Amino acid sequence: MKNEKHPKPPFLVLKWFCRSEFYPAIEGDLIEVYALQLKKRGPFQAYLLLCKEVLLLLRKEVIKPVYSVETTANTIMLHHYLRLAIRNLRKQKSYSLVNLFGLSVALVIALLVSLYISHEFSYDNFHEDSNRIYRVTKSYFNGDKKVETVPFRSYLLEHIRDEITGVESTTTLKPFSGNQVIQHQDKTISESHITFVEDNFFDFFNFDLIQGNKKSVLSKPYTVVISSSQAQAVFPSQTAVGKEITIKEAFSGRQFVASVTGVFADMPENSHMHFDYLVSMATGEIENKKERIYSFPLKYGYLKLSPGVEIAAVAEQIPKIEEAYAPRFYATHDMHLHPQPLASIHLQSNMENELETNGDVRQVYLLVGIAGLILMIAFFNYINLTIANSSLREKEVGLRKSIGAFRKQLIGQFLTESFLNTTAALFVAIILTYFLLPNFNAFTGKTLALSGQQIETIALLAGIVLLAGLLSGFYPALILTKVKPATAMKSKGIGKGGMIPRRLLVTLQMGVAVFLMIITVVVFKQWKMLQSSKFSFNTEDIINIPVSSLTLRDNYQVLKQELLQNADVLAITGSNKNFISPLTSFNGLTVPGHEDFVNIYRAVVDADFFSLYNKKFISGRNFVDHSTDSLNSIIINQSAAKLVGVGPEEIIGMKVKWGDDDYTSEIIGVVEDFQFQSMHSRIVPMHFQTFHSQRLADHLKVITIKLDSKNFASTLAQIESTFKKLDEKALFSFSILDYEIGEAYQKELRFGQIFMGATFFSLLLAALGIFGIAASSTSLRRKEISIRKVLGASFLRVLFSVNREFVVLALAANIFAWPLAYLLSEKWLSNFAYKVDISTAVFISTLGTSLTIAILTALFWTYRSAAANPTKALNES
Amino acid sequence: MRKYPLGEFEEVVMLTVGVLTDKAYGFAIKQAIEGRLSRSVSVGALQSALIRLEDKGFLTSYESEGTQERAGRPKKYFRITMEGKKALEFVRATRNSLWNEIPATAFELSGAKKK
Repeated sequence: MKNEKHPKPPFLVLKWFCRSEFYPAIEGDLIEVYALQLKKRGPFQAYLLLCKEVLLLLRKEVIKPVYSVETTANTIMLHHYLRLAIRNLRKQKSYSLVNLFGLSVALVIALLVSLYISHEFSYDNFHEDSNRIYRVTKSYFNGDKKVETVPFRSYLLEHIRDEITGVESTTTLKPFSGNQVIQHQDKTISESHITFVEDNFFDFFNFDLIQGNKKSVLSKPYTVVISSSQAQAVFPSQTAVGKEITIKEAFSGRQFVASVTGVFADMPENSHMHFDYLVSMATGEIENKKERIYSFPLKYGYLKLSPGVEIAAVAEQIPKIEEAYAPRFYATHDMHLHPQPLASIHLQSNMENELETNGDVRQVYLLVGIAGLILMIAFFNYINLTIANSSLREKEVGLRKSIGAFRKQLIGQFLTESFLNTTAALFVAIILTYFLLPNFNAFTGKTLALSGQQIETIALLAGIVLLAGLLSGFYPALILTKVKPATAMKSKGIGKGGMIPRRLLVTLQMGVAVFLMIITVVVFKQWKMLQSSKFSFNTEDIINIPVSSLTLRDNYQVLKQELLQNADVLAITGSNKNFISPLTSFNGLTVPGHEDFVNIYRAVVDADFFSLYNKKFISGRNFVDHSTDSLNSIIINQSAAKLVGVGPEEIIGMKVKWGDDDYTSEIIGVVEDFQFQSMHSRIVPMHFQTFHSQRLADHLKVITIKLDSKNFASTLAQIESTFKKLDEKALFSFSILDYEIGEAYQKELRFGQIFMGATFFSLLLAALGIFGIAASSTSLRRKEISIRKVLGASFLRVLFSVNREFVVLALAANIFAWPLAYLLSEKWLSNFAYKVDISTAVFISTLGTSLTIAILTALFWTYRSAAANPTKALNES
Repeated sequence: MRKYPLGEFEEVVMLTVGVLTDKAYGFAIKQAIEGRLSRSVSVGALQSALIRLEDKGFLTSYESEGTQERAGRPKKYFRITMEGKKALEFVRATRNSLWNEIPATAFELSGAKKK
């Protein structure tokens, strides 16, 4: 047919909704109408009119009926199933609610965890070339200690870019250390997210530059690009571009002026770096020439591969670069550079000098495991309750079968019910999740949201849930529909359907709950032990104040004398670290009689340190302030003396050398061993040096004050004013040692909280399971109990005999869970230097708890059956 | 229930079918109504009216071979049934009786008021 020039789509739509018997004639009419319009008004208008006509054909006479005679019997059956399912749910409201609740709770947990995980795995994926970008990191040996750190000498990266084929481009960052002050006119803002970046920063990464030219914003010296939130804070309701800001180091007062050339959107939460001020690298180079910037050559380096190049091909050429351009490090420290995929940084990298504290992939796996366990026992529960309930429906099944229902149809009916249940549960879960999300965010410190972005996650989860729901409906369906109609009709409406597998499921549930409970107890015991470690001083009386400016540091002695004027200030000391923070600085020590040098940790303190913390000397003497001690005296602890292998008395006066240098020091005292970092590590051999002269002065980081806590607030105010008197502009902050100690064990506390939550839900679900089992097992034994009672058994005797089953169940669950829980707890505890014993008391207490819960839950039914009037049950037959 | 349920547009459609006699199929009816009554008629409105009328038994239809200008689609021709004729006559009779009963003064009065 040559005349088929009419457009197709409208006709396809028409064909879809139009009753088939009218279609051909109507189509013919429309073709004529179209042809006429085509002549009159041209193709476009004709097409529009055709569409209008098709739309106007949407009339009840023309549209196919939803259920026409053509539809298959299947849909009718499905309709029927759905109606039955809803009727059944309505009929047994309490059962349906319990079932729905159990499933929803588990789904909420699964949903929250999957939101969290999808966020954790989304880090740095927003960069277009994310899979081609690698961060280069460095490893080296200090003595026999392997150190992995991020920054390295960036000229090596230039050689990698220029000499290894397959590397498309590289970029480096040099973050500012410490606090900075941003000044614009009379506005000052304290900032610590500032970095020097190369001019290709916005080309290399996909951070969103809102204002400014990607190519040129960072090409000139003394230019800065700022984040949009900072632009708003510093220049409210003005354009930031073109303005000048002063960036000043809070500590030293060193400063420069830079002009704003661009504004970028705040770096996304799922980025491994978050900077607010990007200063051009050219600025850094000039500033570094004027006055050396601390470790300026050490930078954070990134490389981008050319498309299609494998990282292995590049990585195997890196040693050549190391050998050619850094032979000294290469040989003496076994230094190596390692490329690391950008997207893996957040979860898998935990090196020294990370830009931010990263996530922990183990925590992610832990959460997945827990969510999986809870989801599993929720589905067990679901199966269990369904069987429990469905055995009551045996008669129904029998009747359906005898009037001609096929087994397939009955299975279909049960599957529809479980499908309906799981869908409803998913719905409830999504709503609950929505309301619980703020709390969850507070706990995880994220800002997760149920939004379009996670729609994939939710869809995936929904798919899994529905599948699992169907599978869990399948088993009861199979068991139930197996019954022979004759026996089902004859039985008194109670079947033994799947009692053994059901008991097994409940035992497993209880076992999981016991397992989680034991781990929770162990984690909390460990946390408590770490947290409440004994100190020879009151941790609430001691505050730490960071030394925040050069003026304060240089006037430490003046400050100390002024502060001591206050009667409530009992003692003051200065040191290079807080009492609880990790020891990081160490020296290689060479002692006579030993060939190799030993690495021992170092702390830099002043003479009042030991008295403030009540530490006793085993032998020798303390430092003397204002003496030559600051040049060449050291104090060691007992462990260090042991390491050297010389008694505490004899070691006094021993001269030691530092590493390869000729510089020697004299040991003047041995102090008792004490914990000088968190309890995660043992007491280590260490030595103390003192500052108070030009040498080592820059180690003064913290001023520690012991005060009389009676007038805490007023004393603190006086301390602050003394600080301000010496340096008005310096930032003043403090923290109480007690609080710092609590913070140091946050991780263990959170770990415990996660397990506690999981234990709570799993116990709840296990209790639901026992509830279901008790319901059917007592109804199964109604007659037996009645006969016992008629024959003279006492109420208690009967109660005992019905409860025995649940005691056995709880016992079995415990026996199955104990070894697993023991192994896992042992493994976790092996990470700690000090650990609690997993005593038998832990196991006995969980046994007690699980037994109590099992019996109390079962009692709801068993009490009823034991107290029931025996004649009632016996009359029935 | 009315004796002969027939809407105003349905009446127009039936009369047009009568006018066109052997040539009364969808497109032709549409053209005829649009031409005589100078109003536009959508295919949907027309088709639904035709389907209703056929359901009521006032019209009957038969299909013919497709022609080239319709890309081979068949034409569905309509004729008025006996019942349809009665319905039309009933409507006409009611109208006529109403017309006849209007006194001549009715029109004068309304005209007088306007002045």
